[in-house]
Amino acid sequence: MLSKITSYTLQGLEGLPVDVEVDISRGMPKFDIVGLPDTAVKESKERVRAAIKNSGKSFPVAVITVNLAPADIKKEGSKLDLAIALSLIRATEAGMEVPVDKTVVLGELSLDGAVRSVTGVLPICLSAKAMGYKTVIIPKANEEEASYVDGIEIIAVSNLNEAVNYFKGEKVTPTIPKTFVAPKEEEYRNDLKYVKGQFIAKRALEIAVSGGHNILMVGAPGAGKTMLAKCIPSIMPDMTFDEVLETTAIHSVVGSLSTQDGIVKIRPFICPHHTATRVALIGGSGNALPGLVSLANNGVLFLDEMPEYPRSVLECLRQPIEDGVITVSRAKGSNNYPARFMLCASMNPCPCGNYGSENAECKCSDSQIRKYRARISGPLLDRIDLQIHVDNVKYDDLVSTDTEEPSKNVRQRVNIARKIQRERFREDGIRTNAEMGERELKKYCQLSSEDEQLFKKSFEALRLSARGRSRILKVARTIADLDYSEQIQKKHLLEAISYRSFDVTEQ
Amino acid sequence: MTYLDIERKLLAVNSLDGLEYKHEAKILSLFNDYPLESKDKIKQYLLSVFSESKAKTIMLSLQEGYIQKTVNDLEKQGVCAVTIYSKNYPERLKNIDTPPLVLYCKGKIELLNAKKTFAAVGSRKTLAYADSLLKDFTEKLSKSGVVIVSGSATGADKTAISSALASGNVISVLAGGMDHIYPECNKSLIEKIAKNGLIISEQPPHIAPQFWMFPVRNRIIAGLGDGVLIASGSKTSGARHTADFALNYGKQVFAFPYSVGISSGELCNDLIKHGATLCDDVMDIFEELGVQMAKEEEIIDLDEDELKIYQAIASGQEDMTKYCLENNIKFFEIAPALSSLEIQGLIVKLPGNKYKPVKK
Repeated sequence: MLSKITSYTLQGLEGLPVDVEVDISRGMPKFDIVGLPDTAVKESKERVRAAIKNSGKSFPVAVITVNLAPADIKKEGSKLDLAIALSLIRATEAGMEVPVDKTVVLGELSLDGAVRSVTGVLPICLSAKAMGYKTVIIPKANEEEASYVDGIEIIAVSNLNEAVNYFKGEKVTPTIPKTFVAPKEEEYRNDLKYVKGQFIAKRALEIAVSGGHNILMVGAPGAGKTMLAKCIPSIMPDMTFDEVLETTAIHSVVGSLSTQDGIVKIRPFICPHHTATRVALIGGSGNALPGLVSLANNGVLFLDEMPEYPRSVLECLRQPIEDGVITVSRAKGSNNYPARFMLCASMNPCPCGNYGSENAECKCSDSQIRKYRARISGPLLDRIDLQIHVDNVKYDDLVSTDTEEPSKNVRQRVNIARKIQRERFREDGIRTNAEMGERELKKYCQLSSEDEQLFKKSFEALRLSARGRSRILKVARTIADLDYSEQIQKKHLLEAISYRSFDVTEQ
Repeated sequence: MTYLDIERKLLAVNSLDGLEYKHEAKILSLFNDYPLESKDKIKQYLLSVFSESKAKTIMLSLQEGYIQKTVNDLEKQGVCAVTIYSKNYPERLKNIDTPPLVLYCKGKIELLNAKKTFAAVGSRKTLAYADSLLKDFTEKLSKSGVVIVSGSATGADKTAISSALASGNVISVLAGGMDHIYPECNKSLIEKIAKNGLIISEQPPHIAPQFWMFPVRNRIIAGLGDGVLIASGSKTSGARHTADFALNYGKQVFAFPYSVGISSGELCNDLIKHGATLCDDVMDIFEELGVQMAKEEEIIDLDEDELKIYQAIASGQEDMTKYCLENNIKFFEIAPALSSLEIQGLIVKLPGNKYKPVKK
């Protein structure tokens, strides 16, 4: 007897249909899986055998051959368990007459016949829909995630028998598709209204988010840099459904989705530890999986204590910052993952943290400070438009009961500023001020001759470095956008100049 | 550059590594006292203080071949040696107790005998507000024809020499030889000074700087300046040496005042306590030197916002976050005014978003 059921495997974020063919013939009993299975797939033999037995069915005593087609692509993970079991049952048991050629089956089996959750359900459903499949059978635990895919029938099953019954023609209610609703204010874990004081830093964050600028916060330990950074997702512009799907797909592939929400509703905030390797950050391993920069896609990548990261790791970030996508190449192929994130970094002014402080004594030597700052390369700093100083909050400020502006209001302003930018850059192929190159700077950041003089004077007076010029111009453009101004005016330029911390490249 | 015979010998002896000042001085005096039989006398003296081999090395350096090579090398590097016998040797240094025997110079050597000089030094860690005061002072002094003398380190020294660079009235005194500019990060600045101003060193070019050379170098800074300004320094700062030398040489010592508890100002307050002149206005220095300040045409035109904020800062309101809170305004409304004031050099930004006025 022969039977065939379609399942799916993933290559990067792309789904790939896999035909699970089962042949049963007489002979010495054995159970073989062919077609480039990886270890997890090979082990599914035992799971399938136990699950069938424990579901009250008999496991055929015969020569069983399972073929996973196409045979030249490596199949990974435990997603194929359910398809193998169903295909096997279908080959031996009568009554499974529901046609299977437009159906995709996904799921991992537990020994007792329950169906467990798998990774990558969302991208697979999207791909199945695009390939013309009509139905997807998925584990119950992945139901939330799949329910956001419209236009394809989703059947969530919790054990093997349910799936068998479905194929026997039993009526099962498909999952009701959901539409994406923007998260409620309470769902943001951090909100700017809980951050006391820090007006300057808050304003800088607003500018950074509005213009898509990367930001570096310099300040003594305990000044509140991390707390501010954690609020960034709450003031970032509302996510579009496409962004939600794109982000969820990546999180789904690495299996970091919460089963409760099912999708990534709030922009991700990814904070790698400074011992993270290049592979962890960029992506890789044998299967060329996405790294943390891709998980931060459409969200924030926060590097706390930036100089503590190895230089080699930091330099890896330059390309994704520039291109918004990362190509991970490994022996088994290369995958493209989106990596459009806002980089937010924090650092101390010197190794002991007290440099420049009036009251505390800095114990670092001159060369120590220089070395500490030199750990961040000039080219990387060039990609960080805003470099601000975060000062310690005084006790009085901490206990004051003044209400601070909530993130919601800031987000509204950010949304408008982003809209202005989208319209302006419609023909330039970029989306935000931060992405402007020399051509766009010339086009959209014209200064009046008077302001040009002032700008020139400020370079001499404040000893700015030459590479700071375009950074300041871009920030000034964003400030003008927040002010609904077509032209960059003097006040915008001057404000942009005020958001420089010490120039880290100075020495 | 032609050198006298004794100068050439001095250069040869001086180019040797690790010869103490007192020995060099003694050799010189022997040359002076016994022009004809100097070689024997020197050998006798050397054998009495050094081992035989070292004495031999020193004697070898006095051979014509080596002397010629030393002089040629200096010429090749564009270094001009001003010895104590030279007419270019600064009078100011002749009066100190251990005048450097040779000054290796690069740049405008006429600055050595400038009419008016002023030394300005401080520590590497200098607060932004002291730094900008120093910048203002040295700029005004150098523009008015006063030659600024300082070291080469980062921090206050760098501020002093870089702000005097534009007028060319600047002498940077290096601790080690000119082939080894220290710190490395100031190399381009020092090279500019060698072009527009003057760099000098007591050590021959090939000698790398060592710890002991820095305090020794400070006597030259103190000796060359008609007065000394100490801009910053902790209790143990090397600037103390400069101040002590200056006092010994009978020069006026100025120091910036600091609030109590600021570690980078302890030295200044201590000096003031013991009689140094408290310096909060550049006119103090002009009066002491007897120089007229060069008139600058500077139009300061403040608009209403700027004026209001400048007055607030000048009256002691440093914390702009607090200012915003008290006056119920948003920071971005005053940010342009702050930048504008900063660009005009009226205030200076400190870490922690604080601002201080700079006296004009």
